[in-house]
Amino acid sequence: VTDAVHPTVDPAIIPDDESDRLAAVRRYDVLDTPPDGAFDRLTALASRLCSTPIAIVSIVDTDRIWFKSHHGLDVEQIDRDPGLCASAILGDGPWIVEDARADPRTMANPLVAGEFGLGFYAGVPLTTADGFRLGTLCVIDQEPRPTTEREIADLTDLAAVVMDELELRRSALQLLELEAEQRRSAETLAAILQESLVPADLPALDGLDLAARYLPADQARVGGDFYDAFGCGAGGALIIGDVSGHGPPAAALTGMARHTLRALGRGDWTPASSLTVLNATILDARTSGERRFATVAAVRLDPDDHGGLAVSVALAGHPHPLVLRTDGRVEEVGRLGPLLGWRPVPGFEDDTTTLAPGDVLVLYTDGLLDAENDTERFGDDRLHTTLAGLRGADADAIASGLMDAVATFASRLRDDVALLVARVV
Amino acid sequence: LAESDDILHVDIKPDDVRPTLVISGEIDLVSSARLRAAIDEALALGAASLEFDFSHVSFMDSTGLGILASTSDRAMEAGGSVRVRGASPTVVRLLEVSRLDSVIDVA
Repeated sequence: VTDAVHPTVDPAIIPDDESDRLAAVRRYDVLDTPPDGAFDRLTALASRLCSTPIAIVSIVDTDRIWFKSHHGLDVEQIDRDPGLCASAILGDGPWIVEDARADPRTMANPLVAGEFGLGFYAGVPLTTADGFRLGTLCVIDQEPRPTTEREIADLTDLAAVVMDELELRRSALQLLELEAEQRRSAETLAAILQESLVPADLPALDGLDLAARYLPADQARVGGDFYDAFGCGAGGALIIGDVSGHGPPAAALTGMARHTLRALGRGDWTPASSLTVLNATILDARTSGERRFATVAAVRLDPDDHGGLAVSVALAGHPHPLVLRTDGRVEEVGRLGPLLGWRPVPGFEDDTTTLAPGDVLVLYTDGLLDAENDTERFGDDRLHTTLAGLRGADADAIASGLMDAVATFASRLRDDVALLVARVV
Repeated sequence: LAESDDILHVDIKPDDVRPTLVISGEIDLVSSARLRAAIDEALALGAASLEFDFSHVSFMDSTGLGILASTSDRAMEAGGSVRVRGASPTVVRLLEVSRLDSVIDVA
């Protein structure tokens, strides 16, 4: 390793294992990273426990000493000069300099002899499990002063905590690397994308029987449709949508839609107000590349005084959800609104209805209507008739009944199919 | 992909005011690049407005809606408009559901 000995660094302070030590420094990938609260809290603690104005987490690089955290000092790095951190990493134990200006080990150091006028230094090496000393946790004062056993013990314990933090950080980085590697494999990609499209489990919502189905038109090309269901207040929210395109960009937009709608669902919201915010969010996130659009139907359900549910619905480029009444009537609910990500002033509107016990609300995506055989598509009329015939069934049986009808009718899916069925119990 | 490229064909009929794109086939994710390229080509002729002849479009999905929305915005920014002619009831319904019919003249 050619960077092991740097021409400007005094050979007397180069450890014997320097090239391996530098490799260890690189492994932690910490040099020139932004400030980190965990390390800043530890230097603040060291400064308080040792009653010094300054505490530093230092990493000794080839020709410089870089500070991961510098409490009480507005300096990010110094040259690798003998006497302080650079010397502290040569041995196992604490490196104590009680009167730096009088101490032959440090009197020539620029920080001591120069304008800063360092008078006191106590440092403990940051030692890896395999014995490499990366740098130090040190405390500094401008005035000379004695140390106590207690301070050295505290500093030693804190140095171990700093090392734990560095290990934790390295594990997290390794995990990220591993994840990135996995993401490169197409198979894993599909699985991850799938998780972004639909919740792992439907929530248990009071008084509501829920079922969902998701059928990609092409197993290898995940993306497109999504749905979500979550509780809010005493009721819940149902979301279904279709984003343009497939793969990672579509999944990113889907994630944005689901997370935005979930976050808004924690506050005071209506479907139209949430879709308006989501529309603005998509427009704001627009880059110079290809524009992306989505269709979404958003539904809010709140218990009413008669054992049923008050329903509000807003639509953004999405077909009407259907209501199946207990007598077999099928109704469309919602007012048509523009695609998401298109109009700056979308003008979404809430439409309302009520669901009595036994009534069923069905949300679906276009793919269901677009399923086709050699001559026809499944279409609205067939969906209405099929749904009416499923009167009296529970949510899961209705979802299965609709999917079976599509499978029986169609020889080919043109697009993904997503389906969300909610029945008032 | 060569095979799926065949599912969409676009002819451009030049016109000083409103060139027409005569589209045959299916508009979906696979064929969308070809349609986008044809739209760029037609707009490069200098007119602000476009007409789409959908008489021979057998299928369109949400990708097509996105393309029409973008194209309508581009045309309106240039002071023009987009017109769709000969669309099937299914495509007309899609334009209604997405509210594209509020800015696109569906003839």
